[in-house]
Amino acid sequence: MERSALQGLAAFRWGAWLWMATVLLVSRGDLERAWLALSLVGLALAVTVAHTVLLRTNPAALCRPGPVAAELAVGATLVLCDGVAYGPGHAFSTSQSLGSVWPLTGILNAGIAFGPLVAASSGVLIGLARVGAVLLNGASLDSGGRILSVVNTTVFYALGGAAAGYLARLLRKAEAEISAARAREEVARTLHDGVLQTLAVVERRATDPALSRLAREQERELRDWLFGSAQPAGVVADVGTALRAAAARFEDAFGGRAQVLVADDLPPLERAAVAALTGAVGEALANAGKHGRASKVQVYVEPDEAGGVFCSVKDDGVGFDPATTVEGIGLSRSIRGRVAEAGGRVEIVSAPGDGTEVLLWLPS
Amino acid sequence: MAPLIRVVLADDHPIWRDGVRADLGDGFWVVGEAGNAEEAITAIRRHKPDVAVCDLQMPGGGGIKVARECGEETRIVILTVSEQERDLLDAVAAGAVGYLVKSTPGPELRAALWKAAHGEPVFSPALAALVLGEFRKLAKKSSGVSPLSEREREVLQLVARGHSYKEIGAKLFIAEKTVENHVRNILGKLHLSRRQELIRYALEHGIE
Repeated sequence: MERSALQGLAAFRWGAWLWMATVLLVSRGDLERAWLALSLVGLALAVTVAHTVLLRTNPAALCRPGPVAAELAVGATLVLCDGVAYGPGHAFSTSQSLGSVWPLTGILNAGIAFGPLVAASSGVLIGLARVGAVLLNGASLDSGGRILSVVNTTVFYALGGAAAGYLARLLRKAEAEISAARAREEVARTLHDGVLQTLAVVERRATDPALSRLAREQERELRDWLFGSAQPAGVVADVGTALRAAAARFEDAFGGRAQVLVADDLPPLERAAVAALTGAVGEALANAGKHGRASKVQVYVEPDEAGGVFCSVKDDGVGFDPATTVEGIGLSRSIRGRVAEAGGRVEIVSAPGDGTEVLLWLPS
Repeated sequence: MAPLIRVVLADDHPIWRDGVRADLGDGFWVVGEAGNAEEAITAIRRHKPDVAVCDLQMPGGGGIKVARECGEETRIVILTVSEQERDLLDAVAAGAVGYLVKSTPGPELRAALWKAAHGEPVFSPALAALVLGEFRKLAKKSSGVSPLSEREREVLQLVARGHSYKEIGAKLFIAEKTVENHVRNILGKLHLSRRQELIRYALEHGIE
């Protein structure tokens, strides 16, 4: 980014110099001290060439104080000497002749290198040089129009510099973010092909259940880190992340396995509905572990036909007979109560020996 | 004794092939191994196995390429690390009969491969969820793909919810074989629609 900005600036610098040379050529009749104007324009040419060479050989140097200050100094001198090179009365007869545009490149470069504040200050400096030029030209700032003209120049330079500095800062930040995202993708690919595979081998081949569980936990954490935040922001990611966290708590607490499947086209849910859904699923998972002694639980979420959300939590636990079993607080309050409050409904299907399935419907 | 099930194993990590071969044990005969898609295709054509187990990601195209080339010749089961990948749907639509995650425990792996070798689709809940989502998207696009029948949708949703074919049969008062037929038909619709390149179109112009 920096390099392309500096490249653009180099082109701008050459254009500005050519314009300055053209103005000098056209206004050569008005010159009182031609040698001064010529040597200054020559100096500006030297700076322009030097910066172009530096861009080719050592672009980082263009953002160091030395080259930036040198260009600003030549720019300020150009503006200042405008009042000496031309004859009396020049200061307000036309606008600036020598280097009206060229000094701007120094300000823009300062903005790219050191940010908006330094660039704005540099703009003020060039503006002050204009005041010097007016005084050297033998004119005085005795009318509102003249003061306005000088202030106008200063504001132009300062704002231009500040804008360049601000944009450069934004671009640099964006560039940093993009390269961080790229690095993350690269890491994700490497880990996916290597570490995740290895963890899966350990998980599957380890005869020690504790080791197998450790591998599974690590795999889950790594997967969350790799893919969790990569999902588009929004409700769907929230539901998926929240349910996976609930499943992880179940696995940690009861040692079973819980798989969470969330469709990627869920309708947007109210915050309260998401809370009810995750709370109810968490409770269903806890019941599956605590009462059902389940080893495997399947959580599935999809959009339903009524425009809301359907969710099922199925376990392979011992099950119960809904006709004879009094529902505990967990079932009646944490699941039914929560879902009813959010405007949804619950069905529970279970039979002794057949596991339990909790079905939830929530409006969007 | 039942005849051995002849298997071709394709994975670019030899340790994986060793692991799967060890897990298969008696009842299976690994007739060929491959480290990339080309080798897998060659091995399948030479050995004509009952089932081929292919890693989703291999040099030279991976499981999708193998499924596209040999899906008609043998049953291809995809092995994968991650379940949420779009690639899985592509692999199944290209002609694989299903997939298994690499952390699947040995007994489940054997059961699934036995089923696949006998022509039954290996339809995990995660795959069912992906396929359901795919058909929902297709329905919204009204792309001309024949939609799932209400019964097929019901069966697929029950698979996604974690029910076995047997449980689904009992729930819907139909035979287990009928459930299998539904699942096979669903796969057929998916294959067909992909062959017509309609899904590709829907994905490219669809919700993503």
